[in-house]
Amino acid sequence: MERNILSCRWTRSRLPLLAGGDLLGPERRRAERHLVGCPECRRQLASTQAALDALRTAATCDPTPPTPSLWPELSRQIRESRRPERTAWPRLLAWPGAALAASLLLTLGGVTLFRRHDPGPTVVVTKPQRPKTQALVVQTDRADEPDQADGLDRPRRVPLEPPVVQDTH
Amino acid sequence: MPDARAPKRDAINPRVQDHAPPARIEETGDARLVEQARQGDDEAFEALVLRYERKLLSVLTRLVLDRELARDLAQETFWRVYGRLDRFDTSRRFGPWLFRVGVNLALDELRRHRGHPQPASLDETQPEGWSRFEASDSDPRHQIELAQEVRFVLEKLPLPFRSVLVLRDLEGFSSAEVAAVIKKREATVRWRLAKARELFREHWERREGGHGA
Repeated sequence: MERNILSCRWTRSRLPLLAGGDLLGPERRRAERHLVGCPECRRQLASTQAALDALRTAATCDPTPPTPSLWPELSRQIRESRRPERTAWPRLLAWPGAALAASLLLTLGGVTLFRRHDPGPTVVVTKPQRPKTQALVVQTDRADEPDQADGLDRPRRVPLEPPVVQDTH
Repeated sequence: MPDARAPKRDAINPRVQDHAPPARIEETGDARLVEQARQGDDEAFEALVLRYERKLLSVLTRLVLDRELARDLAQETFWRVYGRLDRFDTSRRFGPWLFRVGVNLALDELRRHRGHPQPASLDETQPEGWSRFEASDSDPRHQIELAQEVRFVLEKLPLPFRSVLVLRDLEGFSSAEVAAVIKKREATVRWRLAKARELFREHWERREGGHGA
């Protein structure tokens, strides 16, 4: 009994292949031998064959009636893929060129602003060996005294008194 | 359509299309055409397209059950193949590679829309274009109805089983060809085919029982 159950299980797992003509050789012969003595398996084989017959009938219905070829559209796609981009060369230069121009403008503008507002060097001069020496601080700082007579920013010059050398003899 | 019962040695055979390629190309093998297409010979690639487009459209239509979508997928398949010609090993067969690309595209498309099932009941309006099937039987209406029933049941099958059933039993590919297309071992294909047919039988009996057949 158990052997029949196992044999049925083995055969039924192969019925779909047998029904489709895909079971060959010793396996086919073994299945056919089992079917001789097993009406249940024969019934299942018959129902599997009926289902496959429906598939084969459906296979005769062509799902693709004559339609225009895919080639014209494909051909156009291929041609377009080969067309070089006309603006590729200028486009390649566009961004770096714009960046270069912008940096130049920024540099010039920065230099201009810098020169306008640059305080310049601060010079401190002291005069030794002189009574009541007073430290004379000369500044060319233009921050407080802008000379804008002609609109140009020029450093204001403060004349320096020459140092006095004392005769020590 | 060839009888799917008989094993096919080479179901991925080129078929002469309505607009035949130039005579010098007709007899040229696929490998030679691929070599020529790689060197920029558009006529060679055209010949490949004309050879395989009908079969490819048929496979894709049966898989995705939508004629317009199948056409888009076929177009995309050829475009991708064209872009990968330089990587194709001409010692292998071109047909299985082409169908592999197409079937994978179709399965990806079906997986993307898995959450949005399309109606496929005969009680609903017939899909556009589906009723225009050609049939060699004396009663074409019966064949058309049967094809619609089969389509309904096919939609119930998981994609890995549906694809094997379509390739083997509807399109007549041999087990070896199916294995080459889906890139599995032939033993795996046979197992999937047995499972697919069993599932189809179960759904078919259920449906036939529901219609009182």
